[in-house]
Amino acid sequence: MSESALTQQLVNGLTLGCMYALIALGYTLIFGVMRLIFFAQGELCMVGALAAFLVFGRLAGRVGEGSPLALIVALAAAVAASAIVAALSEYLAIRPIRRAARTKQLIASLGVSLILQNAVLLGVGAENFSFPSLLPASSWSVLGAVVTPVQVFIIACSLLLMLTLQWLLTSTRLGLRLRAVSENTETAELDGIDIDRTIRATFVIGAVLAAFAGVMMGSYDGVVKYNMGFLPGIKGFTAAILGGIGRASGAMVGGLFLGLAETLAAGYVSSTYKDVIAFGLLVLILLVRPSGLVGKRWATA
Amino acid sequence: MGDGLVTESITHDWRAALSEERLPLAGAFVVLALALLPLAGPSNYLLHILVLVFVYVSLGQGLNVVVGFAGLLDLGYVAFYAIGAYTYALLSLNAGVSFLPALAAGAALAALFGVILGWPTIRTRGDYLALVTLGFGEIIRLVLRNWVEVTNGPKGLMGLPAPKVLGVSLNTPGHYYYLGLLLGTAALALAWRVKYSAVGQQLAAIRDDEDAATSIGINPVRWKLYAFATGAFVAGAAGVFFASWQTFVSPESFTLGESILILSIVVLGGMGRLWPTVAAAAFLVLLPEVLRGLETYRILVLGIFFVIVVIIQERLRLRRVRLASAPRRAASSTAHARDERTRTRPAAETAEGVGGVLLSLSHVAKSFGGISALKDVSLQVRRGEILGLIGANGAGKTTLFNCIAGALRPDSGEINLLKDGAVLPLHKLPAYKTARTGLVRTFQQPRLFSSLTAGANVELGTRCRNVPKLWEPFWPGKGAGRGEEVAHALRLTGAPPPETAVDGMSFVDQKLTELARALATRPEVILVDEPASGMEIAARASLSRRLRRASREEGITVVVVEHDLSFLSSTCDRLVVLDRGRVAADGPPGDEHVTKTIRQTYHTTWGQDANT
Repeated sequence: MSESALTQQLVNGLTLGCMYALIALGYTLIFGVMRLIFFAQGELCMVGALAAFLVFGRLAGRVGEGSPLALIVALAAAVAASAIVAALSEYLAIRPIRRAARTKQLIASLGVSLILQNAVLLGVGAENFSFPSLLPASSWSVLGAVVTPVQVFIIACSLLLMLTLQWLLTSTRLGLRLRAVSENTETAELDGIDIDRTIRATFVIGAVLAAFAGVMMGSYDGVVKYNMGFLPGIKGFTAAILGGIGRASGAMVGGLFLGLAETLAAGYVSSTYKDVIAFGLLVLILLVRPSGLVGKRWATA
Repeated sequence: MGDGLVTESITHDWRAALSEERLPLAGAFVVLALALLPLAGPSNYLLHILVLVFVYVSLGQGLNVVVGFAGLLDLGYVAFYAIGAYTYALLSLNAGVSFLPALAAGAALAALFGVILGWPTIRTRGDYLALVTLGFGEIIRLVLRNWVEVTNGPKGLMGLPAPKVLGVSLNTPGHYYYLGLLLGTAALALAWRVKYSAVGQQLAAIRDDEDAATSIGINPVRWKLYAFATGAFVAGAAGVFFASWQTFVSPESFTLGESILILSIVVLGGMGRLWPTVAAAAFLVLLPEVLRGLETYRILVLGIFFVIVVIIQERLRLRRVRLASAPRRAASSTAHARDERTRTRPAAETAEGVGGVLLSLSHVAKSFGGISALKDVSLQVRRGEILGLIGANGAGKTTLFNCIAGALRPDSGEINLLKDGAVLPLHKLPAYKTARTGLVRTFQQPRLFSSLTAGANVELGTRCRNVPKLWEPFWPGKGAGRGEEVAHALRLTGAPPPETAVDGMSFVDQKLTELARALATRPEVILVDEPASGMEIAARASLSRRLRRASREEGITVVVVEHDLSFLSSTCDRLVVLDRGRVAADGPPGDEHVTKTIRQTYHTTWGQDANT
């Protein structure tokens, strides 16, 4: 393949990787505070994307496609829906079993994911809905690669979100509480930290990131569907493991790595088997670097 | 009231007769009744549905071994079922292989895939297994869909031959009914044998508390992999049967929804129970047949099931713990009372049995991030002595135990066990291997296997070096006579009787049972972490006597961590004072330097320079 094709692959991989990283961050934060793999992270993307689609449909005509207002409305709807669903799921399904055996927690979290996916299926059906174009449909040529405004939006917005999260974790009281609970829940509780509130906040933060990822996925693929969150959900988890679960920076690195690896594999090996390659990578990483590409923290917990 | 009691005892008898351990009795009736059913001339439709039930009974039991017994979550279980089905399809169509060899091949191939997939995952991070298997299930489905040359893609493979056994072609609904019944019975029997064998006990221990399991010599990777491969084996066999029954296979039979259906059989069946899992399989297969309209809601309903069943089980567990612990709290002084019954002479004052060096630590260091818990610890423990380790919080006592027992690997330094003229480098061994060399430990917070009785906990200790064989569920070894060993260990520490359930046991009884479990491994050295914490004074004195007696009579070397100086003085031959990761003093109890150092370390650590 030519050099410009490689640049194109890199841009596409970076775009994909940013979305994986946002989902991975949700997994990693929740795993950090309660050692739980919350399966519904992918479904929260779907809820966000569909909420954006539905709200936008309501406003059809009043808000023009491609206007800045459109994007803001879509994102607000996505974030609100996803955050409410996450907070409810945490309250109804996860909180009652916080002290249950690990396997049972996983089963309940799988249950939440199934409920969300199938409730949406019953509500809106199995159609592919075409997602509104929130950004202008032009494109630029950068080093021979075609770059669309959607891609710029995805990459820039992801970076902004990651920086915001980093600031939140390191410079706010909530971030301090969250890190304290991650480090040691019992000690944090003894120090007077409200564990319930911190865990709920963590779920909501994860949901906000997922909602952004959902709107990005909708804008990038042009369609939304009840099961659109399934594969990105698994991929996001893979990214979290690649980077070393429990580490925010690891999730970002893992997401970008997986997005690039998958895009390059699709371009140079076989697009039919790109998902197979992604999962193969997961098993390979577990084999050679179980603590992830980046670091060691929590690797032996 | 009287009626209530009678009813209760009747239900108790009824339950005992149908209890899982007596499965062959009840099982024989059920199988016999089902075997006679075709004589009543049922419709082909009913036979068809029942064959479907049998298939899901076997899949449910196979996954039960993985999820219920071993506590591993497998979300791609259907992949192994698919491997079995496609093995039969490809072997019978392309190579003319007949049913029985294909059955063996399908089951074995599925088990092999189980090992290949399970080994890297279980060895490193077992909690990722759920998503790794989810990914694997998707990979298998994608490969079946896309590898058109071999699998014929989404269209699947058609015209599979009916099974032929001993030259007889089995192709009527009745034939399939009996084959299916055989399959379901075999899977149920397999799960039953695994559960009520030494292997099942090992699995339960790992599921309940993996660290505690490794501390008594159990190798978690081996048994998890065993469970995972056994589950895959059953699914492979079920897949072969399914393919021969349907006479065609396609990727659409092996979706994630199918894995979730099988998982919900296990969840609804109570995770790890046998008959309820059979009932759950029948229920979930029959439900959509009865209520056709429900099909669209099926997965939604299963999702709701998952959440609700788990929440209810957790509520019940919490209530059980509360109920059980309430009356026992009053009886927690029984440890002391039991002691009075078996009390013998007070222990000798001198350490006459003390011999050469058994355990040697040189320059052991361990730090966590920037905090160095152990700076430089060198220490020798002599054979037969009781050594007390004392030091304020943060002195590094538990970290030292963790390093010796293999739960942590020291950053530098050596820990050697000198046994039978050989030097065993403990700092290089994982925890379960350390335990098998004859060095076991207890935990500061007692860690028992909560789903087992006190007796079963201790029995697991006796299996430390007598590791169950892989075929033990089907070919039991000479395991008899452990009852006496178990009772002896429980008596030695004054723990409650073997049939006592762990859920709801008092803190002190848990500590004593844990100590008995460790002693049952017949150790050379035992590391005891704060054995007397939470005990009243009389119980402490009795524990001190028991530790000394166990040490003298069984020839066990004891290293004990405590804060209670009077407990240590009456128990130990020698005291070592740890202060912020170093040995600060070493000498017999009552030694002036030792006493002074203890006073100093507790004061400085709690005083102004606590943060250094």
